[in-house]
Amino acid sequence: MNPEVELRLFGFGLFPGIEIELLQRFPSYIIRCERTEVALETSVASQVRVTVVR
Amino acid sequence: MLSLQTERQVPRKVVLVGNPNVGKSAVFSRLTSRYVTISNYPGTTVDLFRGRARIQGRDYEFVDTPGIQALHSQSEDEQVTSDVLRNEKPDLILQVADGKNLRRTLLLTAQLSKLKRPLVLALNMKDECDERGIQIDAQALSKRIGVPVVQTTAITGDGFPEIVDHLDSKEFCSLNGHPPSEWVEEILQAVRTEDEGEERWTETKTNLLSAAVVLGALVHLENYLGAWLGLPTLYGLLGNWLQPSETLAGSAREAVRLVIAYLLPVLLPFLFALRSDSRFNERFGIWARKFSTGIPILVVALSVVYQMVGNLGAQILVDILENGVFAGYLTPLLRALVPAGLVHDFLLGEYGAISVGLTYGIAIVLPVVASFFIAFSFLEDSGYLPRLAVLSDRLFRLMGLNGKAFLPMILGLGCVTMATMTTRILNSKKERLIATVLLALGVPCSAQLGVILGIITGISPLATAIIFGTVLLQLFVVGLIFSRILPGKRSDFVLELPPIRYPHWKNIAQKTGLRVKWFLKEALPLFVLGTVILFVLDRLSLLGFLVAGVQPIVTGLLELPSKTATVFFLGFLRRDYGAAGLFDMARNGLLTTQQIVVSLTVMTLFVPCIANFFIVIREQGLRNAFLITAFISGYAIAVGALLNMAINFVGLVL
Ligand SMILES: Nc1nc2c(ncn2[C@@H]2O[C@H](COP(=O)(O)OP(=O)(O)OP(=O)(O)O)[C@@H](O)[C@H]2O)c(=O)[nH]1
Ligand SMILES: [Mg+2]
Repeated sequence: MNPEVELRLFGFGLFPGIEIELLQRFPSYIIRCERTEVALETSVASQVRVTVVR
Repeated sequence: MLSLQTERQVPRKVVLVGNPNVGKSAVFSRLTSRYVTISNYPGTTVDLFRGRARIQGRDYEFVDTPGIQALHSQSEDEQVTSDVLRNEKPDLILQVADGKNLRRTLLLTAQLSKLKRPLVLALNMKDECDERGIQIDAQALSKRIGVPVVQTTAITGDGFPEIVDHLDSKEFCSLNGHPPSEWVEEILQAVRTEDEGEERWTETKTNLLSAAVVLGALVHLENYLGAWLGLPTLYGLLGNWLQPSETLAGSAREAVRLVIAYLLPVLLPFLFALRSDSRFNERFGIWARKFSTGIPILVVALSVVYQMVGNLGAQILVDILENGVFAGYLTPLLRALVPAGLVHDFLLGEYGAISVGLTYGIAIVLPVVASFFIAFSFLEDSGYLPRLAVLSDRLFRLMGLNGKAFLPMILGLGCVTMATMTTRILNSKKERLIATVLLALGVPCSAQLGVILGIITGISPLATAIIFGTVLLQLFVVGLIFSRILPGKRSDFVLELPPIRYPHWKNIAQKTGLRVKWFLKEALPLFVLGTVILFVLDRLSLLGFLVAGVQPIVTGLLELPSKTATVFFLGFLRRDYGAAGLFDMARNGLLTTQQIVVSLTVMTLFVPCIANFFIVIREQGLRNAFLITAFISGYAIAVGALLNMAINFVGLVL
């Protein structure tokens, strides 16, 4: 992943092993991480690797 | 002697740091009693604010900073914060945090602890934590990380005595883990419990509220649709009781009619729902960021703002002030007092400081600026704006920007100068430059918007559409071109969406008051100065020479009457003042509709104002500032000439 983007996502508490929720895909991806909603454009969202837990 | 010594002490410097939108500025305002802008979106504060306070016999200097994601982030607002932490060696770092997001908070705490300064952690938004059933054991957390932890609610002042108790703390933070690591999760496990918050409202009630809001919006929209289809409307029905007329009382009646027909049906249920039911807020937040529901919501929101600013402010308030107060009382009174002669002409003549300068500023522009800022502060504090950034992201990407740029662009409708500073939140130099150019080129500030709204009521919808269409198209085209020719890349769109909150009237009032005062201080003197310059030039018969100089452009290329040249000179000071001049000419029948369309388009695309010019110098450097100004002046005239030719060519009758 682009290190700059990685750093920014990091600031939201988004790091390996964290549980996130996907809320929306269009017009932007929106995820919830802790109690924060973060909008991500597709190219960034596609770099976030997840395993579905629910 | 002793007290003298304490007074001479240098104040203890306390720097407020934290993630964006957690309430740093709200905490700062409460500690210092100095108001700084507080809004519900990340990136409100983009510069440092300092405030002194004497608390329990000690002097403190508090510093409010722009929010940061991490200590080593790249955008320029965040750089400001990193710099102050590094260069100013604060006596205390007061980390303000959103208690709902403890993981994020602790990551930043760990980074801050590397600075080796005393630290206090304020977990703000306690009210929202309680509502959501999040409980944090502040004492346990304090033991773990080695510094005082207090829980606060900045909007009520809850927890502030505890902050004050710890302002002299010398404790250093013991966290020194490199995330990602287990320690964060381990602490979260130990100090935080979450259970269902108390449910004051049931799902059914939320559904009822939502239905009421939708119904209100439909009533609002029916006013247009019904008029179009010839059906009865609320606005029409009210006309039976509240008949508008040319008198002052008639204007007031019309205002009441507008408020009842257009504003109350939507705003009452909406405000009630926002205020009382947090589940409704959550639901509205989802609707607003989804495409299918977001667009209808945007339509209603735009229409409500238009009714408030374009109709209530620009038509009725202007009418009351201008015809009622100025033309009705003030000017006749002064005319009677000041005998004919030079002084009379200076104050009340064709280029009179009062009859033109002050009248424009106070009667025509001020009502719009004020009503715009009330509506706009409401939008800011609700948390709606970042959701529009999500909806518009794809459009902005075509212009070499991303959805984040929506924030400075929309702020530009308030004041282009302030918005130019907000471009700091954008993550690359290229984006900042493009946004700065677009702001200066085609985003009319509230003052100018007001004048434009005043003019367009007198012309056809087609002519209005041509003006706005041309300006929007230019924004798009210039963005598109600049994104291709400028070096560098746009950054990826990553934006935090704040929760939808009920806007507090006190904050709206303070913010509006501050901005109106700023307008009076910034613009009004220039309005008067501009008029005085024209008066002097006119007296010395120099105006004729100047006008003759630009004759080929004004009358030749743009086919406008030569008097328009003087108006364009005013536009160099402030383009809204230039637009006000056009307004005056249009009202006196000196311009054909085609000339209104062309001149107004040129004026809207013109360089904004002197204040903006200086800010662009500060943010982008002298060279860029001159290049931008030269580009925009030329471009505005070129577009106007092309537009005029196109209308002639098609043979369009407007
Ligand atoms: N419910 C609640 N809202 C709060 C509290 N503190 C602040 N707010 C709201 O949170 C929003 C953000 O507040 P600001 O003070 O502007 O936040 P900031 O940290 O200065 O934000 P930036 O300058 O953008 O980094 C505003 O709408 C405030 O009214 C609180 O304790 N409870
Ligand atoms: Mg702030």
